Amino acid sequence: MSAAAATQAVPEVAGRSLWADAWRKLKGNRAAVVSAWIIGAMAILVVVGPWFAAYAFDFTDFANTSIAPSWSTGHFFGTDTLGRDIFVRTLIGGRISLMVGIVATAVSLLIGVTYGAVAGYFGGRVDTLMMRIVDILYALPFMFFVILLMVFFGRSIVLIFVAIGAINWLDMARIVRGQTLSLKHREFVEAAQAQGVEAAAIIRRHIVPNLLGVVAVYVTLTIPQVILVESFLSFLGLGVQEPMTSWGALVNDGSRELESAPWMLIFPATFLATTLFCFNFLGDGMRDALDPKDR
Amino acid sequence: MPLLEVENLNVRFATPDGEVHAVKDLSFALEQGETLGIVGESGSGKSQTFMSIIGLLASNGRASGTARLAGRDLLAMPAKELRTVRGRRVAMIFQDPMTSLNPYLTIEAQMVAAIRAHERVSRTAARARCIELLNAVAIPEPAVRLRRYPHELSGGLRQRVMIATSLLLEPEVLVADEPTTALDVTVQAQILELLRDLKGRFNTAIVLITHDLGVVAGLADRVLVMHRGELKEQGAVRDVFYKPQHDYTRMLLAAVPRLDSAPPAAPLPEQAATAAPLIDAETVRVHFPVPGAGWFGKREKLRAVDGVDLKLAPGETLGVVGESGSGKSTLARAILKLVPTTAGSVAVLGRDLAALSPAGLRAIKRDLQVVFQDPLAALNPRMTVGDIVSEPLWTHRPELDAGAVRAAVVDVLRRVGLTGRELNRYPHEFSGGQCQRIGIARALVLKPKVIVCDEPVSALDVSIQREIVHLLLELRREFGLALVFIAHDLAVVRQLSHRVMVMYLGRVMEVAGRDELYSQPRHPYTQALMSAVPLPDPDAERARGRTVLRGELPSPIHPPSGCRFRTRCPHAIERCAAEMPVLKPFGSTLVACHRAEELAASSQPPPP
Repeated sequence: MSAAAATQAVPEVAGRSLWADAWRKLKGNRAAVVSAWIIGAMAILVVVGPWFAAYAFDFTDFANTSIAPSWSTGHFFGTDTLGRDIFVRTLIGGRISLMVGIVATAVSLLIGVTYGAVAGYFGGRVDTLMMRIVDILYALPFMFFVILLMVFFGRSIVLIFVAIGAINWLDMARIVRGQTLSLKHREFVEAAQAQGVEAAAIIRRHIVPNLLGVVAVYVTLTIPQVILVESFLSFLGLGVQEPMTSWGALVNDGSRELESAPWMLIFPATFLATTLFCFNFLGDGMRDALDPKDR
Repeated sequence: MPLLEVENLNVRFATPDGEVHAVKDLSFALEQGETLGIVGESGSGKSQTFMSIIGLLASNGRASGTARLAGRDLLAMPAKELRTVRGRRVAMIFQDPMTSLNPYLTIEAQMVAAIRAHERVSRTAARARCIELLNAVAIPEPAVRLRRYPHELSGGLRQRVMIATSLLLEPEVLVADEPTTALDVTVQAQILELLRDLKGRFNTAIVLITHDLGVVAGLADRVLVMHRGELKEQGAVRDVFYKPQHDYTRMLLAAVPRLDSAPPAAPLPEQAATAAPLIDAETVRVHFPVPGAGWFGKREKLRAVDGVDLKLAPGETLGVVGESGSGKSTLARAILKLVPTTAGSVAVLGRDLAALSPAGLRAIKRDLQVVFQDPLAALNPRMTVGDIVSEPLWTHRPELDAGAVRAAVVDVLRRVGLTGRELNRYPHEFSGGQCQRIGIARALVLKPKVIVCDEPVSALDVSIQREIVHLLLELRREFGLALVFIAHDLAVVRQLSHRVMVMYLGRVMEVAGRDELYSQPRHPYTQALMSAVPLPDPDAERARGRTVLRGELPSPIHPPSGCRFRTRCPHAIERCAAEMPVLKPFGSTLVACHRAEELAASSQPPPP
């Protein structure tokens, strides 16, 4: 109603939405705020950092293979067995890992929320049919699915998005459907039905905004989970293609050289762990902030 | 020396929005064996007073002052010692007996635990004591009930179990916090009867915390009136009721709707008798499938509404009364087409709802709006008030531009007694009464012909109740609205209705003009219902003879054969079990009772 608000004749009193309340509560949670800042800094670093780095991520410095971190050579985090700079590779890997986390989660969010809300709201046969489809997809073994995709289409980063997104929305759909089932018998939804509001508008105006709280929490917990899945795939050699890399791939490489070049493991692992940690803290903080019982 | 002496009790809560001073400088005394009523609306601090005394305040609460139980200050007592007081010397009963009992433990386990927490007695001895007390609170077959889980008992029985549990250790003080608020009026009458009886038998001082002046009038010796944490008035029950000193008490007493008196009914618009009915429902049935017992049990039917006729003339207000489970809300939902009807027909404005296309149905809904019971739950918490009230216009008047919608919304908000400046605010920023006004504004913004009000005031305090009822009366006059007014409170229905329909277990028991129904109820159920409503008048309440119904509402899955009410009816005969009575004209009323004439002739029940 911003258009109407512009033509106001009566003085307005600013409202305090539930989102504003939650935001205020989240800001009071120190762990969550610090985590959010670290995630923000991490995101900026992995996006901007490589442009300023002294080496390209796929440049092999034959003079300095497997050297320890040092300022003098410009390899702050050292190099790997091929002489590639770990610092820039960690940042590039972070780009991939964060991107997989965010894109795959966004895909699952979009599909899952729509699918779950529709199934839950219409109920009955529609619901049964839609949820049985979900059950069938659940029964597909994930690794088998990924390997199959790789065999057919070759290794590519897009495939990883597809594979993770295709599996992850199932959880989201189930959560959203459960929430919708409890929301649709709430009186404000009945009031909208009694007014004759169309189903699509009820889902859009009444159902979805009210389940976003739960969804937001789930998203912040899904992102690290997806990053972890990608790491796992890379660890198994099913992830990104060399020389492109991700945190998971770097950790995999590093673990093989643990005794001779521990820095190859320590730096990417620290980045990965810190990010996961922060996302979990943020998710926890959001769960507390959005908890309606506390209000 | 008084048993409990409270001096300068202050309770404060630290909240994100600043400190809330819930109880302010409260001082009072409780004598041995006395019954003290504490009356107040929500937020008056009446419950927090005793929560602080027994040390059960929420973690952000702080109490100061003194509360001496037989000379010992409970507020200064260490937590460990206080635990020996709680339950043993001061026992508490809460509003909702379901949430006060642990659903995973049998009644026996809970009652025995209550004894053994304080005394070293054998299980057998403890069990014997439990049976004795269950007997005292008139629970049939106590030995069997002891082995049951809470959900296997009805609401009334659960509250009896709570009372028995609290009396196990013969406490000196029994605090009953809204003990009957969650119960139906006929069950409330049973529990009040029980408390009255126990009061005589046990030498326990009872503190009765309630918002219901009628409950206090019948039971209390002395009354405290609280408002916003302050003690407004205290005195003997007759003094407070008949010679109130404080303005607030007077206001409260005036606000209580009286079953035994009401303003004269507003005249029906003249064309009402002849015009086509706005709503014409015929033998409506709404059955819900429920899974049967066992793995392969046959599906059964819950007969929420089972053959109900309803007609509503233009400008008329039809009150629908019944206890929970009577099907009155389901009937409303069937009229609004929120639940599908199993059989029968509902016609609104002369058009059969079942035959209408979705577009036609939407067009009908423009003239048929609804107001719900829980004012906050009926408003979407994520939408602004402006959007909430605009939504019907978006749906039904898409041709309006944003400015016109806004003007209409501001207009209707002002009409329901708000300022029109609320547009950008959210529902949770308003009180219950204000939220209900917003709900009414939403129903009114399309200028409908009919509004279905499903318990619109039962979640509100009495003073707010009165304001909302007056608002509805005004709006009805101004817009010529017809109302279907559903409520369990007979007194509220009396203030608004032209005609009243009494429902029981999905069937209509009686339909009558308002004045006929209240002066001469014909159906035994109507009579019992009226007799169960406590009057806010100590002398009248204590003097009147009452027919307290036995038992509780039977299951709507297996309703009794014949007359639905026969299992609780004091006048039931064999014919009632064999043959279902239909609504028959009796004088100017319609009654579904085989013995209506006979009973009316033999003994005229005294009007309440």
